[in-house]
Amino acid sequence: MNIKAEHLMYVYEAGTGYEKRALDDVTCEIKGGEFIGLIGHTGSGKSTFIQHLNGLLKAHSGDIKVDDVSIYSPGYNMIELRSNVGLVFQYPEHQLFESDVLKDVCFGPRNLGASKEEAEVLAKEALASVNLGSERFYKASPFDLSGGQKRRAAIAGVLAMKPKVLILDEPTAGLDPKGREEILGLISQIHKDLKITVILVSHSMEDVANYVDRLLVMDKGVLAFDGTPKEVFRHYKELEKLGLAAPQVTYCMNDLKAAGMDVDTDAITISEAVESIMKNF
Amino acid sequence: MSIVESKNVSFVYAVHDENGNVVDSIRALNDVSLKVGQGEFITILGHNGSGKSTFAKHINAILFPSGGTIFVDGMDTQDGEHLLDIRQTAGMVFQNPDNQIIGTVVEEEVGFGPENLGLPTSEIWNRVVSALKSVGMFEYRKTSPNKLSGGQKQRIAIAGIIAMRPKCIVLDEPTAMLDPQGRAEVIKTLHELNEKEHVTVILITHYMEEVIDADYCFVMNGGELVMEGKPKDIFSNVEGLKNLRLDVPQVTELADELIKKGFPLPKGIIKREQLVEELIKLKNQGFKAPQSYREVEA
Amino acid sequence: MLRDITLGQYYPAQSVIHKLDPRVKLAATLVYIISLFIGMNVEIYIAAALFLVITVKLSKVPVSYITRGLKAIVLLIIFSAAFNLFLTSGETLVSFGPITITKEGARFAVFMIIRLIFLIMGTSLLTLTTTPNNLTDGLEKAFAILKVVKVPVHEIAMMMSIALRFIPILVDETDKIMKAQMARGADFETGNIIRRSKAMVPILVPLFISAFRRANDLAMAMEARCYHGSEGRTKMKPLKYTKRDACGYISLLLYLAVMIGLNIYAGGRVI
Repeated sequence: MNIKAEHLMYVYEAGTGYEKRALDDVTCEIKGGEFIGLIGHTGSGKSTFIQHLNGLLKAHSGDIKVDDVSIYSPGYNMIELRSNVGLVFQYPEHQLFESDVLKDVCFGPRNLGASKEEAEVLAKEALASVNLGSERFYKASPFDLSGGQKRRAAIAGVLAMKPKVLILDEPTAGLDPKGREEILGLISQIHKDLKITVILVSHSMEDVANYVDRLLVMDKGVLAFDGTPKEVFRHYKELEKLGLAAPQVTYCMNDLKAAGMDVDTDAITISEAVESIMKNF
Repeated sequence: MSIVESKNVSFVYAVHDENGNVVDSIRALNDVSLKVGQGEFITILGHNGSGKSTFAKHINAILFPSGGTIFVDGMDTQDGEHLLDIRQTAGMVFQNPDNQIIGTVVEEEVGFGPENLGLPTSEIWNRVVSALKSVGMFEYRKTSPNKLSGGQKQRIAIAGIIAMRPKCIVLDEPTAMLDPQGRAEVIKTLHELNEKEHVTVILITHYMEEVIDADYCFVMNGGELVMEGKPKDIFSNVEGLKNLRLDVPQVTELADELIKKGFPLPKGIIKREQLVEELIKLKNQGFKAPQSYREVEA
Repeated sequence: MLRDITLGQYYPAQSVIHKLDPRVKLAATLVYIISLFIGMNVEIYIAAALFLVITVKLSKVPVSYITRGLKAIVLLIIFSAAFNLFLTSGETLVSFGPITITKEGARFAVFMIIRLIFLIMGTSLLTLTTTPNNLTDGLEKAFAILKVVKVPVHEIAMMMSIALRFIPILVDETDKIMKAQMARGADFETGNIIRRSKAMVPILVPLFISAFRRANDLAMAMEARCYHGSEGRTKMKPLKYTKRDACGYISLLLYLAVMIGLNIYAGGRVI
């Protein structure tokens, strides 16, 4: 499934004194099966952008085309769009509401018109893909789960709609290091197994460097960079001006280079850095 | 004298079912003993559910030990007479910036604590002004907290505590809900307060970068203290930390990987400059990477 | 759309109205409400409009900000207008089928709309120009007499001010939860009343849970900052009447006198 955003413009509080351009002429194409990282500091427009992709917000100008059909064309099926483009909000566990996990995960498929039995099949599949696929979890109250489990259950709630694109807004917020690693590993696994497009919104450069193939950087509503992580992190000095940074290893490599060592400043993960340093010895 | 002293503190709470019957009891803290000296910058590390927040709430007399004793500035927290003194001596900042702000204007928010202390109006104002200046938020005094960023809100919450002139601030994961910029702001503010006003800081966190500049660090797991030491000592034990669901700064991990490959680097490298310096030193000494690796490469 | 609720929100500005003692503003709000119910004729309404326009002007709160609050009650206005329009008996103006609109009905409807708009604008001006703390201090002082009969005036006032502070936060939260459920295919816009109210469950449950969590956190944070009720508590901004407040009370009395005068002059005439 291809999504094309064309010259998106979105203004907050239009018509009042507080006007603010949250999106300013954003154009990009997201191809099926990509694993994309979206970074930018708070207020850069990244949350606004992802809410456009599933039609929760409507651009004031510009267009979004899903497989070459504009989602703003009259009669476009928004509910279907939302099932195709699954959006997991920040702290998704705050949306859990049912008496047990299975029912909660069924909520999405049921909204799309699935029968109770069909929904349960989908829900069980989704729960299995977030490692909660056992009877013990099906019947548990979502509120009795641990923090990390709650979050995985909430992600399953979106996966159960069989989205072709999965967008996650800071899925690791508030988790401890191990919890962060678990969620990211899970997302990477889902990307591989289900062969769906994944867009990961994150603050952590180290995380995106380790997982994504392509990086979008937003600043003040504008798409500032678009490229592979290596390409983008080459501009670490410009990223700093946007309140962002490259992963720590990239800085290390640049420092080493400056100190006269022949290392690859494009290294963005630990293993790449180790390999490049080894060559000097 | 130590400002906080915990002696064999345990905390057990009962789990009730829907009918109010006790079905289980959970030991959230087990025999925790530690001392924090006046003016120190201390961090307590631990994964979610390790008991670190429960411990923090004991320092501020929100929770009371089931066994053992906690002394704050020499006062036993279970001594009801000193309750307000203890809370004033050891102020507390919580995780969610929105859920601890009472006022609708920044200056009123900061004045809430001093008002509770029953200070004269002019003194309240003095304290509010100086507290806001010390966290660099004075120009926002007339603003609504709802219009501030997460990092700014946390600085206001810190100012609200500072205005009560505590000897010690306990912060329970104050940066968990912030973006990197907000986190940096808050940590910088805390170091400034610690250096300039000699306030003792007890920072509870699971962000490793926030531990690097601390004087001393405690690590908790399963309600117990499992490690303690200077940050560089703590970070020498990369495997140990990972087993506790924790992590190390990327530089430390990079150094650790190189050590595994046979590089004679010292353990506990936590800063970039250190690593660069050590590697250049090795290079100048003509160190060669172990042959086995090069063969694999070839 | 939920962001349009300005009820109980404070608009920071430096104006005469902002600086008035909250007790004066409370009295003014009360007087204004009463004045709107004194009579129902053009003169009175012009006077009430004039009073409102002057106060809004003095308050430096943008008119658009105040009228935004009206959007939230459009439904209420339409309902009460319709009620008056169709159910008032009198001289028939038009009739189609079983529905008859009378002259009186039309007039009542118009006045009801004006009255409600004035009422909302007037009362929202109180909260827009008074910080919740200031407002609760005012209420606490104004009702201090009730303390004698063991009414926990301070506590009630404190609860009110906290509720006001959390309105925008909970509004934001509702918006977020709604979007999260819409992302899971929830539909809040179609269907009949029963279907729609059932659709509210996935919003209300998380909202309640979050409200309780916040309340719990806040109570802990307040205790940690030595809050222990009103006893021994001092004020950062103690209420003190100034000349400005005296002027405020005098203008208020004048306004009331004018309104009563106008009503007598109109002889209780309706319209």
